[in-house]
Amino acid sequence: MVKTLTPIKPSLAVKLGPLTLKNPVITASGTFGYGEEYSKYFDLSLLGGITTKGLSLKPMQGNPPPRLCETPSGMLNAIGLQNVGVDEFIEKKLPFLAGFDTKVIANIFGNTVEEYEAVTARLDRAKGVHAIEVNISCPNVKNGGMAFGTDLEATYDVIKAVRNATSLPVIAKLSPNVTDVVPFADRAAHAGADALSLINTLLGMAIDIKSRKPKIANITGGLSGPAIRPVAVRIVWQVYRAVGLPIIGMGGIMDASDALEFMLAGATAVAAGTANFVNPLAPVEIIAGIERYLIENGIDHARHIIGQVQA
Amino acid sequence: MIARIRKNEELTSGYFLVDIEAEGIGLHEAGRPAAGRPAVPGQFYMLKVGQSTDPLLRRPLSLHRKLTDDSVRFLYRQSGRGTALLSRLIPGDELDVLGPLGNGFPIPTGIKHALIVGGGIGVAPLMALADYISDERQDITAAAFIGGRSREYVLGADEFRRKRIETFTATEDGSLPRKGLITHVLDDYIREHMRKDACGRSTVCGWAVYSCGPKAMLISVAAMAKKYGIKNYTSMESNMACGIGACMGCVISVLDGGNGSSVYKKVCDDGPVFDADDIIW
Ligand SMILES: Cc1cc2nc3c(=O)[nH]c(=O)nc-3n(C[C@H](O)[C@H](O)[C@H](O)COP(=O)(O)OP(=O)(O)OC[C@H]3O[C@@H](n4cnc5c(N)ncnc54)[C@H](O)[C@@H]3O)c2cc1C
Ligand SMILES: Cc1cc2nc3c(=O)[nH]c(=O)nc-3n(C[C@H](O)[C@H](O)[C@H](O)COP(=O)(O)O)c2cc1C
Ligand code: FES
Repeated sequence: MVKTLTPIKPSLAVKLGPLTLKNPVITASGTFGYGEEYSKYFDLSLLGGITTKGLSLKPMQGNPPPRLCETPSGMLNAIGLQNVGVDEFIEKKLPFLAGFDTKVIANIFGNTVEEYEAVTARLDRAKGVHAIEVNISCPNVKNGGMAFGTDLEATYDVIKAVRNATSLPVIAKLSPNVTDVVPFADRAAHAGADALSLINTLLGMAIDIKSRKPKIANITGGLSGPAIRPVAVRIVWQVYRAVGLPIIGMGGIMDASDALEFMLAGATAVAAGTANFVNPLAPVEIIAGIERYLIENGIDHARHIIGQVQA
Repeated sequence: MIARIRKNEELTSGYFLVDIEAEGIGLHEAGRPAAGRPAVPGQFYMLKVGQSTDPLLRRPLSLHRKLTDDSVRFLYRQSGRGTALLSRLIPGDELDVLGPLGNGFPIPTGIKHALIVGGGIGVAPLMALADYISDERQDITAAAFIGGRSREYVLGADEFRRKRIETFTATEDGSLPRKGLITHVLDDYIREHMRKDACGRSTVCGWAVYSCGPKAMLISVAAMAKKYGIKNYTSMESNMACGIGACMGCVISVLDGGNGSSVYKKVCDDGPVFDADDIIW
């Protein structure tokens, strides 16, 4: 008789600097609301982490509609960071999230360094926030956002200010809309970031040839989805080789094989973004798929595949 | 959930009826607040047509008819790539469906007479409303007003009549009487019935207008309803990504309370049915 070996359950836990996740799968900011909507579809405690929609000091209305359109294997959005504001988040949304056994990553943005600082200070005092992700890369708002993320010194200043305002782990979310992301990653590291999120959306545009108008009211928007995956994988790989910080990889991850591609390129964790819209169960399917891959390849720990591309 | 196509047939050039089945598809999904309750008229589903990443996003379609707890029907117009792919599916094919989603048409207490106004594909969600009223609300009467470009595009009129709902039609080219816009027919109807009862505004108390169709039609119906003091509920459209309230991508401008300021509301979640009085067109 052939003795069947029961495969050992691999460990999925990963560390983003001081932040330990039970598995490498997070939901990307702006694609998962504040968690409530998706809690109807699966148990949020299954996730490695949840990143909230971007939070600002004051509530924001966002951009006028139409705000999104579909593009080949992707979509353009210009939501304009509509959000309830940090105070209402802490009061009304956070208690719900705190009820799950997962890491809550608060994504923040501001128009000035002081605003970033003030939002951080409030979240630092709130119970149930495990890390702060600093968005300096939103292509859809006039001030703040990408204006910081495409200027090396502004990148340093914002991350430094956030770093000084909190003892929570700080994650810098960088813009891909620059010639080379590496110097930005480097500046964020020097300013005290614990980890990096790569990538935010790529600036794009689509035109309706009948009306001759841009398809979204903001004219330009952020491109996400499978269309941007090769760009994102390339950036993760470049930054992984050059900078010592752990990376959350994202950009068009739809399933476990996409997620594994990012991990092999150097991502410690991965985020599902646009995938949530197409398949609310995408994050849990990705977790299961990563585990299956590890078992099939006899790898006992998820961290052993990070950066293992044979390049 | 994975649903199976039972029937997918062209009704008139470019317009299709598709029946799909899956356990509980006509009911609210487990885990949702209204779990197990039937889908209501005005709600919609998000359909993933095709297995690849292009087209990427799900397509929203309104509940046209709830056939059973385990099967629903959609009426759709082939307008682009997604609906073209859908039109090629054959019985037995599977597709991934999310729903029912959204709020549905409200029927406030005191409503006695529903005016159902549809233009073209706008009939899709209104049929579900007519089904509901004729099957389950003996306390409500209804009249239907259906407009289209030409005879072939006046959808569902026979179905409404079969339910014994008084039905009026209009075509732009006159291929089916009356020639012109359905809103004119509606206007005449309202005025005539106000006169008949000869007691002014009060005759339209207990009336509500339910509309869906091209924007120009919706705007003129809304203005008319306002003029006569009749409530108007309208089903709105907007590009959607998630369909469940998470992405903030589907908003429209609506009035916020009485103070005249505007806010963005999500079509998928706060709608798709809105009080027409609140919409900033
Ligand atoms: C709540 C709701 C209910 C709807 N119910 C019906 C229905 O019962 N029957 C029906 O025929 N149509 C309905 N529509 C419109 C239908 O969703 C679109 O016709 C369809 O998405 C077009 O997809 P496509 O790939 O064929 O067209 P394309 O033009 O190739 O689509 C490109 C993108 O734009 C979006 N889009 C295009 N037109 C619309 C539109 N009118 N509304 C929203 N998104 C659009 C698509 O979803 C897709 O993301 C409804 C829309 C909404 C918002
Ligand atoms: C609708 C939408 C809203 C987003 N909102 C935010 C946001 O508020 N803050 C942020 O840092 N990134 C935001 N993003 C970017 C995503 O978090 C992610 O970086 C990007 O979409 C790439 O991943 P994806 O291709 O898997 O979606 C948003 C993306 C989308 C599609
Ligand atoms: S479609 Fe995402 S919020 Fe409405």
